[in-house]
Amino acid sequence: MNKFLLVAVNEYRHRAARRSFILVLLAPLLIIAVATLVGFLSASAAIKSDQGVVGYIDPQNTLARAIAPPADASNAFKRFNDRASADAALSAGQILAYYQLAPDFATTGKADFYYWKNQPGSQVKRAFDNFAKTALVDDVNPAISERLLAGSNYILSTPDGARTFNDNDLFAIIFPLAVSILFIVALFGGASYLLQAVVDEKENRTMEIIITSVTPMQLMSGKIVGLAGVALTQVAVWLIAGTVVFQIAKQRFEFLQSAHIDFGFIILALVLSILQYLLYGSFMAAIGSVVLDAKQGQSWSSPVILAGMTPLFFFGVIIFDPNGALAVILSLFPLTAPLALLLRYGMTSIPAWQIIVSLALITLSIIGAMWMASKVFRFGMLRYGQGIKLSELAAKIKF
Amino acid sequence: MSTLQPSTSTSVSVSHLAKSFGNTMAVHDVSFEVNPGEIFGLLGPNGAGKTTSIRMILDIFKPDRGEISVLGGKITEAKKEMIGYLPEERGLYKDMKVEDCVLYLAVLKGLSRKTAKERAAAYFDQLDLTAHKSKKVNDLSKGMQQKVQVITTLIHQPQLIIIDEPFSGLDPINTRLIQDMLIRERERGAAVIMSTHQMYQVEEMCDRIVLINKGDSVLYGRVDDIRRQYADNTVRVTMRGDLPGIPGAIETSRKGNSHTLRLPADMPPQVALRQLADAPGITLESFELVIPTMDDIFVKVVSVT
Repeated sequence: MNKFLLVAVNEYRHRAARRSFILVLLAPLLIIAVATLVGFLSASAAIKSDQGVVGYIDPQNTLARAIAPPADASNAFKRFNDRASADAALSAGQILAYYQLAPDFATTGKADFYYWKNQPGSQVKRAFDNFAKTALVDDVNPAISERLLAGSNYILSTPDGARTFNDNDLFAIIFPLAVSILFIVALFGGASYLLQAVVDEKENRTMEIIITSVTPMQLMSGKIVGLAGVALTQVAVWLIAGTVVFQIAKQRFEFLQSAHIDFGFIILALVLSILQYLLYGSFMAAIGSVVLDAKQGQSWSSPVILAGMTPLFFFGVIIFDPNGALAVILSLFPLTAPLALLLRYGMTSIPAWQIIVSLALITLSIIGAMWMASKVFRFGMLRYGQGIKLSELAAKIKF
Repeated sequence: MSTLQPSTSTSVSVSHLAKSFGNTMAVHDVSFEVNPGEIFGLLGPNGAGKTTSIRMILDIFKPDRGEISVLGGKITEAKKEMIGYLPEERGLYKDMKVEDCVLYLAVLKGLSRKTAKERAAAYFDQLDLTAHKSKKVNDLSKGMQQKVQVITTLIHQPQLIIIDEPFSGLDPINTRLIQDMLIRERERGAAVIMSTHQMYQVEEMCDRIVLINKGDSVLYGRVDDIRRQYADNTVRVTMRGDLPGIPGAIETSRKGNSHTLRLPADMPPQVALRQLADAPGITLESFELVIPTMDDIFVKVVSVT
């Protein structure tokens, strides 16, 4: 077997067999499972607490023609003549809360909201809004009033119809964000493994023996590929688990019925993730070969990792202006491009030229980073217990 | 164990090597040759340039000047599979099992996994490590780790073996075991370069040596020849009776019936022997030429240069 592959296989086996890897693999799944369960239970509890009768005081008779909701609806509405009777019903627990409509409610929608101890959730407000709307459209053609009450549902499409965006489809926005975060966690974890793998060779003092068996390039590339396998294993497990959970959740939650997974996004995410890993992996290999130990390695690598996470710091800007100058610049700059592109994907149709240019720039950066890393690696690999000055390093990296 | 094909060419040839690191001159002018089927001692005080010279031979560092030939020419990646190296800085993968570590390093040297496994089993048996092969390297004592390291150096039956302080951390029994292994390698036809500070081992094992001091090779040749070269015409005589006078000879020390005499430079030892043998009233028990130890020679040469 080719020596670079031998190193890669050994590195993969060594890392994947560790308990820490299993923990890193399962921890996010457990966290998501617990968070989902807690969220589901909270939502269920909230829904239950929002069910009941809601009162209202309507001095102007604005809602006289409002259509009562069906008997099986979560909320029913009862009119009170004054606050005294409404308060009495509220304190007796006969109603959840009540609205006191302002005299100009028909034009302003203003109302005061009174409740006893626990404020009801947004479900009550939505139900009352729907109830009030029926009063406003009761004299309109029933088909039109039904349409008006249902609200809008804009669907944006690219000219070729390749992609569509539904402004009610939260899943289309959240999914790329969630996947981006998972990929980043996996890949920065993988890059950190690589830093540790190189530092291990120095701390174990095995570097000198290994270098007389394989070239620095074979060693470095073998470790990069082996640990890429580790990171991709993590990602694959998470993707499979996520897909299974998604399919189950689709059956239970109505808002997911129309959701679908965009496999074009998955492929883009995988390609970007691999490229990002190779780029950051090269940096980590270089850092690992010049630091004294793992602790120093973490200090040196922090700025590099922060650079890669920069798009997250500008998350709001990217989400609200996905085609703006900042979003485009971050999508083209190699260190930030992968995450920026993934974040933008859910919000806009990214022009093909931006993706192509971005991939090309990342690839060129990888070649440069690996070249630099192999030079630094050869220089620093046998410096046990000795610090390295940046001036020494700069002198070694010569074109 | 297979025997290497005899070669008339040298295994390693180093000519006027020089290497500096910044303002520090690590090696100034070092030259020597190592032949197949010999144990060659690479000697010198700390910081003399031994390790740097070794690393240049192995292409870990590039020399500033000089020529290096390894196994008949410039070193290549293929030739590295024919070299076994045990560096001064010991290193094994602490978290790996012993057998896994040995097998990994062996396959990197070009052995098939099957062959590596068979040879590893034989070495484990020979060095009493079979019971420990499934333990993590970190769980072994220092001496056991040292033995594992020696296995990784020899398992692929290299043509050139470079071994730096092979006996450090070993008890006398294990020292003898490793010595025997290296001697067998020599008999197999491998060239063994051994760097050590233990001069008695140099006398026991090495055929030829080079002594490096402050970056220069200051002594080079066969151990016996060097020792004779530094012998100063001194004899040690054990006898009963009073020591007769020998013209020009000075008694330098005495211990019981043993007398150490420095003879005049122009007096062959046989002349002194004849005079003692003919002297009346004494019983001569032994007569030997005193050859200095490598330890004495090392101290003398390093102090002067």
